[in-house]
Amino acid sequence: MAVELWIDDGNPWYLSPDIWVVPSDDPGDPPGLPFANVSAYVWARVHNRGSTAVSNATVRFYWADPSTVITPTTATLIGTSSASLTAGETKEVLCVTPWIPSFVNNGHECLIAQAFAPSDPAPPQGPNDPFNVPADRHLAQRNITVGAAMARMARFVHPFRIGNPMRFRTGEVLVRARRAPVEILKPLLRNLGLRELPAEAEGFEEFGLQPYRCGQEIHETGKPDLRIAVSPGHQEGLALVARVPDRFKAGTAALLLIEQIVEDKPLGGMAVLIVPAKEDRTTVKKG
Amino acid sequence: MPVTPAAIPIRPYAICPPTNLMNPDGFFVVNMGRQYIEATITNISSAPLSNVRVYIEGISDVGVVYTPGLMSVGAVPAGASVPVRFLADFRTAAPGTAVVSLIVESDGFSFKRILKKIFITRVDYHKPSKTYSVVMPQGTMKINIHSAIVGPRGSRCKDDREPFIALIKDVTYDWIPEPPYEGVRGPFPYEDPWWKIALGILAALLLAGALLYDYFSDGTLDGGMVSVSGTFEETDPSVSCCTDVSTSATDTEDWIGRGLYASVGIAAVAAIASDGPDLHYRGQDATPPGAGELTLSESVQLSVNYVAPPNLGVKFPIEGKWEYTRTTTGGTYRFSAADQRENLHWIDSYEVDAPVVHDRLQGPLIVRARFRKPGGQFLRGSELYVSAALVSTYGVAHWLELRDHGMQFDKEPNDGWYTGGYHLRPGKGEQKVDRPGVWYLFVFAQDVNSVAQGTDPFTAAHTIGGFVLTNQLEIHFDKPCQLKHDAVIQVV
Repeated sequence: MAVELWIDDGNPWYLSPDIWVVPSDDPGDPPGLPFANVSAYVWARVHNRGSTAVSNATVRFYWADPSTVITPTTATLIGTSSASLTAGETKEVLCVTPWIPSFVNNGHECLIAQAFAPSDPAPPQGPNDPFNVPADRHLAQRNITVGAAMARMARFVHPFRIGNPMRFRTGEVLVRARRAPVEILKPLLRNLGLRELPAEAEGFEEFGLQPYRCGQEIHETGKPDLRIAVSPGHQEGLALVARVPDRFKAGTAALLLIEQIVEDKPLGGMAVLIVPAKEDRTTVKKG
Repeated sequence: MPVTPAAIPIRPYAICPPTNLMNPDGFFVVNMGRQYIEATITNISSAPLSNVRVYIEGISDVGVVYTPGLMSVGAVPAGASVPVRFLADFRTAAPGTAVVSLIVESDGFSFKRILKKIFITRVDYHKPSKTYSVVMPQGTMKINIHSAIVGPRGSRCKDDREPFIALIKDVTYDWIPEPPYEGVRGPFPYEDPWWKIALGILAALLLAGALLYDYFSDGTLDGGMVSVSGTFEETDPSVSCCTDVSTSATDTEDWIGRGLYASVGIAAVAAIASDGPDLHYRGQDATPPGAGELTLSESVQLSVNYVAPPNLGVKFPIEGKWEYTRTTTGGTYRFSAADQRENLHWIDSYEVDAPVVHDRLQGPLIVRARFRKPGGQFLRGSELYVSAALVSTYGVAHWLELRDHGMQFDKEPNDGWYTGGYHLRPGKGEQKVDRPGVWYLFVFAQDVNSVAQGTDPFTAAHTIGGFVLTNQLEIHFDKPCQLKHDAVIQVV
C-alpha cells in the first residue's frame, strides 16, 4: 500500500501505548496522569507503514467520558494536528491545543487519536457509530483510569457509561468485568508516569457491575456479568464496584477490565487500576 | 541522530495577502480572514543544511484553519534566516495568544519541533455609538475617533472608492479591565504592556477603515460593511492624491495604494501614542490609586497636531495633547500633558538595483535592494521583511518577496542585499501572458519585531515592528501627494 498510517492498539486494544498525556504547561515534560481542571497536552505516536511518504497527514485528538461505547457524537474534539512521515517513519505528534480535563470523574477521561491523509483516508463513519478501534488501524484508544482506594472505604466505585448503538438492533447489552494481571500495563508504564509496575494486590476477589446514577448509595458489589436493557441509540450509567481488602498494601494495585460484549467480542472497554490512597500508604508504613 | 540545528528567534508575523505587507507588529486580525503565517527559520549551525522542509504541526486555536502540507525550503546556508509562509484562515479564531508548532526537518538530522506564540486580535464596530472595540481576555478596548483628516478626496487614485487614509486628529480610547485590578497597572494583554496593544488596536482600526473595510463586520454580525466615512468628523486639511504611476491598474483593487495609505496612518498614531514612553503607561504612573481601590476603567483623550506630513520612513515630527483618566472604586484621577515627538521608524536611505531592460526569455526578472540604517550600516537578514510589486501599465500587478538568505536569487546571506525574482511569462496571444512594455517596480521594507520570546514585558515594549520604512508615498497637506516608483523596467 502506498501510504499506510497506523496508531497502534494496546493489549487489550483500548490500552494503546501510542497515546499519552503530559499534565503540564510544557508539552515536553514527562507523561503522567491527567487531573481535573489542570491543563495538559495529548500526544500520539503515528506510524507510516506504507511504501510512500505522506506530507499532509492529519491527526485528530478526542476525549470522552469513560464509556464502553464512544462515537463521534459522544466524543469531544480537542484539536487537530498535521504530520509529514516518510515511508516507514514513526513520529510523535503533539496536539498543540491544550486539554483541560473536566471535573467530572476527576479528569479521568478516555482519549482517542485518529490519523489519516487524502492518500490514506479513514473509513467512512456515521456520527452515532462507535469508533471501530480494533478494526481500524487509523484509530487508537487509551481508556484507563487510575483510582485511589482506602481500605476503610470498603467499596471502590467507578462510574461509567455504556451505549447501545442503533445498528445492533437489540434491546439488551452485556457488560463484563474481569480482573487482569497488572503486568499487561507494562507498555504503558512510562505513559502513566509510573517508575515501576505495582505488585498484584491481594484480595479484590469481589467486584461487579450495577446500574448507577451520580450520588446514589451503593450497598452491594453486584456480579461481574451484567445483562441490562438499553434502548437502541441510548446510553445508561453503570458503576464498577469492588470490595477493598482490609489491608491494601503500598506498592500494590489491582487491575480490572470492563468490556461491553457483542457476539463474544468486546465492542468497547476500559481499564481501572485501583491503587491504595496516600493515607493508606502512610498507615501501612506506620504499621 | 542529532536534532536539526534550527531556530525561530522572532515571533511569526501576519502578512496580509492582498498587499503582501506585514500587519502592524505582526498581529493577526480576525476581520482580515485569510492571512499568511510567516516564520523565519534560522540555521544556527556553522554548516549548510540540506533539503530543509518545514510544516505546521498544529495551532492551539482550533479556530485557525490551515491546509496541512510540507514546504520544501532547499539548502540553507550556515547562519542564514529563511522566511517560510503558510496561508491560514483566521475568521473563526479567538482574540488572544495562540501557539503554533512548527516542524523543521533536514537531511541527516531528526526533526526539530519549535513552539512559537502568535498574537490575534479582532476589531468590532458598534454603529449607534460609532465605537470600535477590541475584546481581549484581559479586557475590552473601546475607541471613538472624533475627527480625522481623510483623503484622497479630489485627485483620487480610483474615483468610485471610499477615501483611503484616515489620520486621526481627536480620539478617545477606553480600557475596561476584566476583572478590575488593584495597584498602578493591570495584567498585560499578550503578555506585553498593553499600550502596545493599544497601538495594535488603533493600527487595526486604521487598517479596517483605510485598507480593509471590505472585510469589516459592523459588529452586528449581519455581514454588513463599515467604511471610514461617517464614523467621525472629517477636518481640514484633507489629503489629496495624485499618482505619478497609477497603481490602480489592477482589475480589482488598488492594494498598493491602500497598503501605503494605511501604513501612513499607523506610523502617525504610533509616533504620538505608542512609541517610547506611551500615554497610558505615563498616565498610570502619574495617578497611583489609593490603597484597596480597584481600577474600573482607564481612558486617554488625545488630540494630534500634524506639524509635518507623516511620511513613511522619515523622521517626521508630531505633537499631541492628551489627558489620562483613571476611574476607580474610590474616585477619579487625571493627568494631562503635551508632547512633541518624532517617528522612530525611519532609515537613512535605500537603493534598488533592477535591470533597465528585461527579456522574458532570459529567465526570471531579478531585483535587489539594500537599506541603510541611521549611522551607516545596512539592515540585513531577518531584520527586515521586504516585499515588492511589479505593476504593468495594462492592468496586471505581481507581488514578490526579497530575501537576504543566500538562497535562490540571493547570492550571500546576511550581506544586506535583499534579492527576489519573478518569472514574467513570455508568449503571444495567450491569456496568462505578461505583456511586454513598461513595468514599474515598488520595493517595500518593513521592520520586524525582533524581541525574543520570553523577554520581560517592559523590555519587550520598546520594540514594535511592521512599520514601512520606504517612502514611495509622499503625503502633503498643501498640494497633491505623490506615489513614486523605485524603478522602471522595459520588458521585452
